[in-house]
Amino acid sequence: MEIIKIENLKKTFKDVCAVNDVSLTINEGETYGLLGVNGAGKTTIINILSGLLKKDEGEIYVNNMKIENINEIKRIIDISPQVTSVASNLTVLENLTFFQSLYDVKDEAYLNYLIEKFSLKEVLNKKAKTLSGGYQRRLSISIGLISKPKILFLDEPTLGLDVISRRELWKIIKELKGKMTIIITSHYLEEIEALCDRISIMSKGKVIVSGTIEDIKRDVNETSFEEAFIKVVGGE
Amino acid sequence: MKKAWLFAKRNILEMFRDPILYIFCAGFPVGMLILFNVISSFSVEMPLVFSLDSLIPGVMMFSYSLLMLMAGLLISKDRSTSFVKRLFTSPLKSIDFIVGYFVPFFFVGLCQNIVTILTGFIISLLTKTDYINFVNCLLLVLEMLPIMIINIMFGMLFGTILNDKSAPGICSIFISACGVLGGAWMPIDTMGDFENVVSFMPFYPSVYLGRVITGASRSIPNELGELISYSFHPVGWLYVLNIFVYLIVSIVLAIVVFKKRMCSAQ
Repeated sequence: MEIIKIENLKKTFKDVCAVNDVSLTINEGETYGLLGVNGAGKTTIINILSGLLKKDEGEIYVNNMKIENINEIKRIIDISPQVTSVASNLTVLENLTFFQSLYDVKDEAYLNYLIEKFSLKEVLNKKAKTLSGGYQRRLSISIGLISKPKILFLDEPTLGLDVISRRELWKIIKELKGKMTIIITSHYLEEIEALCDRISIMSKGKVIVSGTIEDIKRDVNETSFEEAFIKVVGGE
Repeated sequence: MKKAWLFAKRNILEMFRDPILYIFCAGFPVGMLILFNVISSFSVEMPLVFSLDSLIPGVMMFSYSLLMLMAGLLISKDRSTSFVKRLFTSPLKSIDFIVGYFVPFFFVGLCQNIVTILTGFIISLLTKTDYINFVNCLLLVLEMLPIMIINIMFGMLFGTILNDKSAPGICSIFISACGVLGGAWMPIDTMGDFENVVSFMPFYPSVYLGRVITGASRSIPNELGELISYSFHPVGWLYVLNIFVYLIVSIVLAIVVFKKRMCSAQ
């Protein structure tokens, strides 16, 4: 079942066309990847879907609701932005309980589940600003899950993390697969390959190709995803 | 409103765990009052602008400019770390944001007032000088509320339109303007037309009206050498009108710009 449907989406910033005639559908429970080089339009799409930006043209339906009903849509979505966004002088626990109260989620068991899942117990009473980059990102994603969203946007979830922290986060995201719809933007090919069921490759605001990674590799006659990506983006 | 209070609580925690708050908002008024009293104790003839009843309204007005700086820093930092972006995808409404940012600074401003008035009281006990009575202290706090709100609103405005690097710089210009144009420790009433010029800003009129309440004396005595107290007449109502115009403009400006900017991506 489709949970997100985008038709002919267009967004322009002054003279720059950030998203140009994009159409795609994302199914419920799917982990969907938006892949592209910097400035491809991935974050702009996430920002439009999460109500941070208004579209110029096109139609968007989220859970069968038009994007114009953003206040209703906000109840079922959450986001972990590209830049780690936590309250720096609040402790890990205070950050989690603040967002839990904000979303009126009164579920202590779920809070403990997230603390356990993201291995935050040992840093629970530490201020967020004193945490390492990896822990900050874990906290950021766990905050994204605190509202029990149907759709979770992960914008460059492992940007700037070391390889160990990245792998640990991948493991957590893999465990979330199927429990909610996850939309990941990234320019790390191996990340998209490891996590996503289907992807769209974007370049200069356009979706060049969509499908499973295997389909895309087959379509361009490449065995390696990196080569396929270069062929798709470079061959545009 | 429940969500606004939740957000306000977060901002209070965020601010009270930042040592800069104590240095700027509590340390500064205390330091300035002590400093000017030390200076005046070494002066052969104490400048009237340094007397406690004159200095207290000035220091109160100036210390609000540091509130403005704090507000600018907090909001611009929240924006730079995408914290606001995350909040904007939450069920928080624009009014919750505005109340949530405003209330903690209003609370800190009230604390600043208490610190300033109490410090002045202690100094008056130590130097065995007369001090403003309790009722006038309360009136002074009330009279200073508009300029406090103006500063908080400008802080919210700067935090909304500037990034965390440029906000401190622009706020410093505003702080300097408060110091120079507010007459906190400068005898503006001896400067002829300059007094008329600064009367078009909200700073000096706030200090002036505060000095009317505290019964402070103007810097220049009359022809007979007698001290003249700051008087509400003939400029009082004009000053009140001036302050309220700035109050309305700052509130409208901050809310409109805040709503506009926070509704768009960083």
